Amino acid sequence: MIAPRVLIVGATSSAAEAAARELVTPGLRVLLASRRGPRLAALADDLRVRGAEVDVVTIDVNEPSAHDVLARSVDEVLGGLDVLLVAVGTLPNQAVLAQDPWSAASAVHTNAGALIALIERLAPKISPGPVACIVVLSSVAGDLGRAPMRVYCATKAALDTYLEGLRQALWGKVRVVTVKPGPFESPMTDGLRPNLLWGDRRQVGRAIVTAIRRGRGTSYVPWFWRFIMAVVRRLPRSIVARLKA
Amino acid sequence: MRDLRSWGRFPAATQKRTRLHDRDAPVFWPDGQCLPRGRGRSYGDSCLIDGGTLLDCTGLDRFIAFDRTSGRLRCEAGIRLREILDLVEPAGWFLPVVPGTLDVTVGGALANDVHGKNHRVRGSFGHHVRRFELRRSDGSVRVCTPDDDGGWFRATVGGLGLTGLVTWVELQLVAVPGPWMEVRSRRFVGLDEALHTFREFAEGSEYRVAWIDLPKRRRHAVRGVVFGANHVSHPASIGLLRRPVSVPDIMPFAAVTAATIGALNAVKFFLHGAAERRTRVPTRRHLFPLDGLVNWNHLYGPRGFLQHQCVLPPTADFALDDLLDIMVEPSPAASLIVLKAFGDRASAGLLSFPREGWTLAADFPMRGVDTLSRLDRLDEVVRACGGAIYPAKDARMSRETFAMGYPQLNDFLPFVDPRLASGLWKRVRP
Repeated sequence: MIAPRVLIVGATSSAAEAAARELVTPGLRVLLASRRGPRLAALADDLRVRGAEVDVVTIDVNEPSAHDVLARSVDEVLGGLDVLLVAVGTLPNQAVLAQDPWSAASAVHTNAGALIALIERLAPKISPGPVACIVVLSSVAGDLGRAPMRVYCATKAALDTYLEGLRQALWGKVRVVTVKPGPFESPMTDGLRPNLLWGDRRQVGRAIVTAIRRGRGTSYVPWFWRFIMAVVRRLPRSIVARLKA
Repeated sequence: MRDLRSWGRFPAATQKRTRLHDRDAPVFWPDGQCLPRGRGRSYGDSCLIDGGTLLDCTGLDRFIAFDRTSGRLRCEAGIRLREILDLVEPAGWFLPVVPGTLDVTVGGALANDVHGKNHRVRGSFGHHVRRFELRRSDGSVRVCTPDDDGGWFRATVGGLGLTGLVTWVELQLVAVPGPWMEVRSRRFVGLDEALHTFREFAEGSEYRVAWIDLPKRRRHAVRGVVFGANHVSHPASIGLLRRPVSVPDIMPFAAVTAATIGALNAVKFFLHGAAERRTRVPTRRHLFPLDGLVNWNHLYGPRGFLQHQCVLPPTADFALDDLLDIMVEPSPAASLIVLKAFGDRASAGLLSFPREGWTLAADFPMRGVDTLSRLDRLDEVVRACGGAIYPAKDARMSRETFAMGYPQLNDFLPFVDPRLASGLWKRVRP
């Protein structure tokens, strides 16, 4: 069996880095894509030490030309695609949004619009089979809009619904897995105060790898968030409005 | 302010934390005093800076390059020794010097110039560092090698993180035949027999350590076991090691008391039997026994514990007797007592702890002023014979004790970065 061909978009996000390290086995062929060149090179070195064949491409998913570059790279560098991992996302600062409401549109564009367009473009390139999968890093934030991060929640909700539809479209050919972590410590959340429920990037990385290997549907990380969100979603609005964080 | 602690959970300190993610990005130096931080496995306040900011380097945890033929490894400083062994052991390599736990960062191992049970053969961690990158608050970036004229290498190895931030390290690994160790062990009664067995094991064993028990009526009843070990190959594969058990942080009392320690030690001693034993065990089980019990420091309860580790010159065997006399006193009784030997290799750093002689380490549950005065009396014995206390384990040694144990302290001073400090440094600096 030939080694799977893996494309990781947003490879330098902390969850994707953790996942890449868990996933890598000697001989694995990986294409890493991110807009952060230096950190991309550092991650590539690390994965090569662990035995993978690694190529990198520096792109920004917000640019349409980047989608062309990625599509071409999949053909020319990897020679096909088995696993697509998408781990791109920005957490808009609510204070910034208050100053410049139009930045909400660009946040939606990055987290949802550009990603959906990219996945639409790349999904047909995946060879159907047991290893074939699309794994996308979403968030429990997509399950319920919350006041302090309402734009972020909206983008994740859009992504989640799109992925539901994609799952049906690719049923039987390519698994589509939505990974929903609860909050965890990462550069994106550096400014926030963690509490006992917060996870860590290694945990999320392992969950992503499990999703790649045999996941189906939606995966909450840790598992208990599935129940927390199911309950919170059904609470009366008057109570939700008063909940902190 | 975050309440990040040290391993012994004493003393208390509150400090902010800022995280580093990229080895090439310029370091953002926060206002006030800072201190590079790894996994915080130092026991006392050498990894704390009350009122300051910790520069958390655990995000700098990537490999950079590994030559499987020569055993030369370059990696970021925040990577743990465990991750290094996970990578290199299957390729037939090992870290030449490892401390008692794998849960420390390479940067931390370098900053404390850690030692293992094989110092006579391999020296300390710093002896196997080929080069590293050091960044200071003045923006300077330098690559330090053992033969650099500036002296930065010898100041930073064992330099407790005070000379700057280490971003990456290059190490020379050592080839080993397999992931097993052949362990030879023999019981002893009396300190003389312990030291005699220890010396006898030197010929055939790379790794040596003695575990010591002090039952109550101690005078002629020091007892324990000496272990000697070597790396070996083995035809069978390792198989599944047991998953580590974790001790929760919510223990409101100390599980470690005189009664429990006494009972546990007695059982260990008698179970060993009078005859010499030889076994083959997985390397990690012999070298890192406590790693199977994650967060074992929580067993000491919320008040934490102190460790006293010292080195005594080779001529001062009698001082071991004096130390054990003080350790056996009750309330609190010393729990784990471990003896190792250092060879005569020249120190790798200006403030390196390992030097020729015996090193004795003991844990004490923290019971307040009594515990502190007990450790002060241990310090007096150490000072009287010209020994030194290990800063990585220390939470309370005095300025004078530190100065007497580290004669190259004045040579070290010019290398200290003006923005860096630790609880320990503020306590002991001249």
